[in-house]
Amino acid sequence: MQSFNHTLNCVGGLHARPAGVIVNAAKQFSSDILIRKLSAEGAKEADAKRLISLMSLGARKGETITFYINGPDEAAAAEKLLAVCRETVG
Amino acid sequence: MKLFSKSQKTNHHLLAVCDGEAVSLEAVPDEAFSSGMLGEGYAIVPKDGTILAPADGVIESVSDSRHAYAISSEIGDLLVHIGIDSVKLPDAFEPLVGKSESVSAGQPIARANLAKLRAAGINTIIPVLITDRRAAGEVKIKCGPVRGGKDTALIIEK
Repeated sequence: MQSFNHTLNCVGGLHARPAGVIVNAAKQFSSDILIRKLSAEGAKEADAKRLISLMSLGARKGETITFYINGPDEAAAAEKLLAVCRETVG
Repeated sequence: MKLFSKSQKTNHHLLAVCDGEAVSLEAVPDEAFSSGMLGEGYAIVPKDGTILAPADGVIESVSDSRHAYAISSEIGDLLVHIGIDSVKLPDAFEPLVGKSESVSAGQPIARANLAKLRAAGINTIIPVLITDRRAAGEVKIKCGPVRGGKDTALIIEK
């Protein structure tokens, strides 16, 4: 299991475009990839390989999402997703 | 063999989500949509701001900015995205449905104030995407003038 946090810095939060970038990166790996958001209403979880699941997190700018990656290529997936979050998603 | 012949011939349809001109996704002036990165689908240049469900399904989410509607359907996951960069102008939208609500094809899901969007310099084109497809077959787009909720804009041919 690999895990890391990312605080969103993109205007509009995790809307279609940044969510799509994460989905496309996640789909390159066979590991299960879960994204969790903690908020006042409780925790919400999404499948990182499913666009509308990610969008339903309603993650806003300034909020932190946590990736949980589990599977045979988890180390490579974590490295790739962390890079995508920092460089493309914002 | 006969058992399967019926389901094999069933095509799936997505209705036009409003009155307007149906175009291919390549015509959307945003690479996230035109490149196919977010999924297959069609787009509409809208004439009318009443936005309808393209298929029967369940509303999976309405974005905070009220411009994006995710629907889980038999065809797969659908995303109706009203306008490009419209995430900046939530006041231009009025959702008519909420999360977990069942919708029928042609049912109004949102009202968009097209004049307000245009005045803010936002392109009102509406990509309708199949972000995760469950129905197999070949996707065909019917380009041209369409009536919302009446005409088919996309067919998945078996």
